[in-house]
Amino acid sequence: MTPNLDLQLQVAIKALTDTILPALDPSQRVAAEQLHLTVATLSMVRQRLPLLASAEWQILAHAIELARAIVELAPNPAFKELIERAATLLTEPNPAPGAQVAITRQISARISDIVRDPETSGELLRLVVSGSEKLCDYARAWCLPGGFETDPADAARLGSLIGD
Amino acid sequence: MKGKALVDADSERQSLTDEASISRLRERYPTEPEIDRVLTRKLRYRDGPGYSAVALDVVAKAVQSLVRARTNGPVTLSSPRWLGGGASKLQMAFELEWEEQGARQRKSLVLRMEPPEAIVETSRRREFEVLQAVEGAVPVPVCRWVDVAADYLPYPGLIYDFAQGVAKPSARPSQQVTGIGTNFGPGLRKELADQFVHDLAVIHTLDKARLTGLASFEPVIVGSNESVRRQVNWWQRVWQEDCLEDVPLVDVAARWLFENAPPIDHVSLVHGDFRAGNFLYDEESQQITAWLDWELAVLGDRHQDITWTTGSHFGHYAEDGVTFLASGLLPVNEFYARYEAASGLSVDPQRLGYYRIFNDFTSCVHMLGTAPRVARGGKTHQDIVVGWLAMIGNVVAGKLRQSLAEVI
Repeated sequence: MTPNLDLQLQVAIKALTDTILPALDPSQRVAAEQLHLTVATLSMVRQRLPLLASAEWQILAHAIELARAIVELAPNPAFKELIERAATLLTEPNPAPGAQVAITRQISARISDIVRDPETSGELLRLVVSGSEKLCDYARAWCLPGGFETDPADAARLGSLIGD
Repeated sequence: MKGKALVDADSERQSLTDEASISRLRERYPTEPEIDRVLTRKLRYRDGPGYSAVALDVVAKAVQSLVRARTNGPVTLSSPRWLGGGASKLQMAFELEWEEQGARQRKSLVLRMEPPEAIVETSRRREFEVLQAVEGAVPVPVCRWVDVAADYLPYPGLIYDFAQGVAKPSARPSQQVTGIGTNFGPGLRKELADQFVHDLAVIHTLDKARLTGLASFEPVIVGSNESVRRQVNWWQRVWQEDCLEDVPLVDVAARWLFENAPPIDHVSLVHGDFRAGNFLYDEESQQITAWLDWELAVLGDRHQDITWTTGSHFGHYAEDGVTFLASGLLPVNEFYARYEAASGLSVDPQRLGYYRIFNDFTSCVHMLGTAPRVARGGKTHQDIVVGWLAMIGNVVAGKLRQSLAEVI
């Protein structure tokens, strides 16, 4: 009765791997490469899907933390109001789909506007750089299955953020 | 608050395809005229259809029309087939017979063509000019014809000789796409490293006479940082045009790069994507047979290539687990020393620092901005590759943040 996306992904991966890939003409190299990547992408989605809600929440929390530090340095009533709306959303037990992502993007857009303002101080730019660390680390942790991290120690550290 | 699906959040991003927005971007981020032309064209076509598979026979007929128009003689094309391996361009290999100055020619050739939008939007005209400039200096395919405006081809493209060779060892295939992180193995590594360093030194010290044909490249002046700022503008503009979500770190990088652009001390032809994955070599002789993917070539500072090729996402650790190999070939400090000896040019730590940030900035633009945009729009023939590669952007953003923390 309950939706089971994991099952759907599992069977899709199996069909691609066990039935479609062996039937592919080996000379079709472009198709083969795209098929391998399709399997890798679906496998990653399957691995990460249970964590998606938590990830959206965590990323919004990091964005709010940075935004609060910025308005403390450079007060802005409109930005403060946006942050408070975001903070309220963070406490909702059942937020609407995509709501947290949408407001995270609004916060990022506002911070980018501030960075691009020629009047913005070096101190505030430093704050954006240091305050982006948690967001960067989380995004890297999320994308570990891509296999693009070259340092095993870094990969291990990041993996602990997301429970890998 | 009513929530929206991610796809709606993506499409909410202002499209910037109206003429007022295009004008504003062109004015705000002045860059080289040919780059401006390419980026403006991209925006004007953005609202058009995504990529639809083009039949091989359709492309083959188009190639014949192009070559007939350029040579005024009979043309016969056979064995057309799609090539894989790259991330940004459609590539078709084929056999061609044509007439040149009364003599019958027969060659294996490659058509390199843009999809509606690519992971990097670049100029076929510039690529054609660069390939002609370096021909004979380093191994590159001979460039035959270009169709800048897609008068004959479905999309702008150029045609060059098919180069034999492989990008990665047949026996040790890379697990990653586009040759990233290729492990050549200890034996082959040494042989390739010699040629790798030598060829880069040659490119950076090309005779000025070879550069006179680069008509669509703006001149670069020694002692000025104007050309560097033009490049920063180029990628800032691409970021503004393409990103589906703001990343404040990228804006910080853009600002720092513009404000701290160093003057050029020596004008080099810069490949722009010089790394393992962009050369072919013969497995038996272990000789590099062709350097490919010159679409990001610029006139500028050699440190742009030096820091690109030593980037962490293009190399890997050696068998000892601690020595990082630039492009999987040689340790970074050894690379610097051998490059200096081969080129007679210095490797300057300060410029390395600047261009490390510059390259991480442009990589973030490609992977966090353009890649999601074009994949979401269904604009390429391999959205799955582009979508996968986009994840590199998060790794690079982490490195960028660390570098910025040291300088700001």
